[in-house]
Amino acid sequence: MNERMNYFIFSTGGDWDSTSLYLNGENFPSQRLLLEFETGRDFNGDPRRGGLSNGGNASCFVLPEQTGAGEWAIFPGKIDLEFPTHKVTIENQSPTFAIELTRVWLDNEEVSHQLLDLQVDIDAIENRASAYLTLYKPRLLGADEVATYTLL
Amino acid sequence: MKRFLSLLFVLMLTTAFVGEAFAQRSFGRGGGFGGGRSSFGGSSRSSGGSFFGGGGSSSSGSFSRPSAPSYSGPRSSSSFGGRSGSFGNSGRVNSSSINPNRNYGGSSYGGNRTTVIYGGQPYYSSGGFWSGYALGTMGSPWTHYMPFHPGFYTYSPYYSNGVYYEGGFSFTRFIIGIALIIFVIWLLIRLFGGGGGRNIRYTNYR
Repeated sequence: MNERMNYFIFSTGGDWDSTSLYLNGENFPSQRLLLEFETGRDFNGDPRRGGLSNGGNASCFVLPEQTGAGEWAIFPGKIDLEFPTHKVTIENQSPTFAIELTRVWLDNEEVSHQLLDLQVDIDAIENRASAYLTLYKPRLLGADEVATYTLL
Repeated sequence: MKRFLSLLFVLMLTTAFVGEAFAQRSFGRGGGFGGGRSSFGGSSRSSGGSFFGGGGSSSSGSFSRPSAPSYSGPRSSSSFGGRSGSFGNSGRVNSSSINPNRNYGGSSYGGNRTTVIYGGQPYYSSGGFWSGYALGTMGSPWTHYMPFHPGFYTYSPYYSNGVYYEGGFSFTRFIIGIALIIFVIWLLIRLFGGGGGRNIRYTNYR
């Protein structure tokens, strides 16, 4: 990984006391962490194959704790999200943060081409914490599956 | 878009196979045309001889002489010898085919049966649409198992009393072929289609 790239590690045990955020190995006190990906759908909003390669919308930033500081871009870089039951890794090394070049792993299995939605919203000020991830799993036989993993 | 491309790919695949099959069929007919041309040429020469025979022997002699070497040499010399004897007669003159392996009964394709020597063995064919494909399955048996090839829709030739008989059209294979083609199209759509059909199951995991 490039030395200039951001490498965040977010970890939570399910409460505020066990929640932490590190940037390149150092504690990074923050008010809010937001990652939103909407991808893998056609013009009608129906899920389709390809996941992130279909393009979409993404908003990712960290709002530092210190007052007056603006939003801190997470990408280009990498972030590990360690939840009580799942681990999600998101990486995008492109300087322009092209969403098609984003790679996502769920529990060490790449799901970039199955991703539909991913939302991680940790807001300490508003006392709000929610995270989920939705995958589209086409099946050769039987119905296709849209699986939602509740992370928090 | 991907679904459309998949359907286009299947269509192109089908067209390519059928096109190739029709090309083979036309080549097969080419052999038939070769036989037809020989008999047709023979009959025209015969009728020409009888038609122009009334006009004068000098014209027929000068007309037929340069063409004699261009047609099959030994046979023409013997047949011309025979024709010269009956020159001027109004009766029909029969000619035999250039290809001794083919013997069309009756008119060229109107006959009930056609005997073809195939691989050293006589082959009885009705001369119908599927006949060439049934014969082709002897030379390239893989076409008998390819639903995209018309040879698939014929019974394989069978051997009896030293003679091969053509299989003809098989309605059972026609039904199987349609089912196989539908299955292949469905499989391609499932494998490469865009997805997002109405049949979606929503699940939640923690």
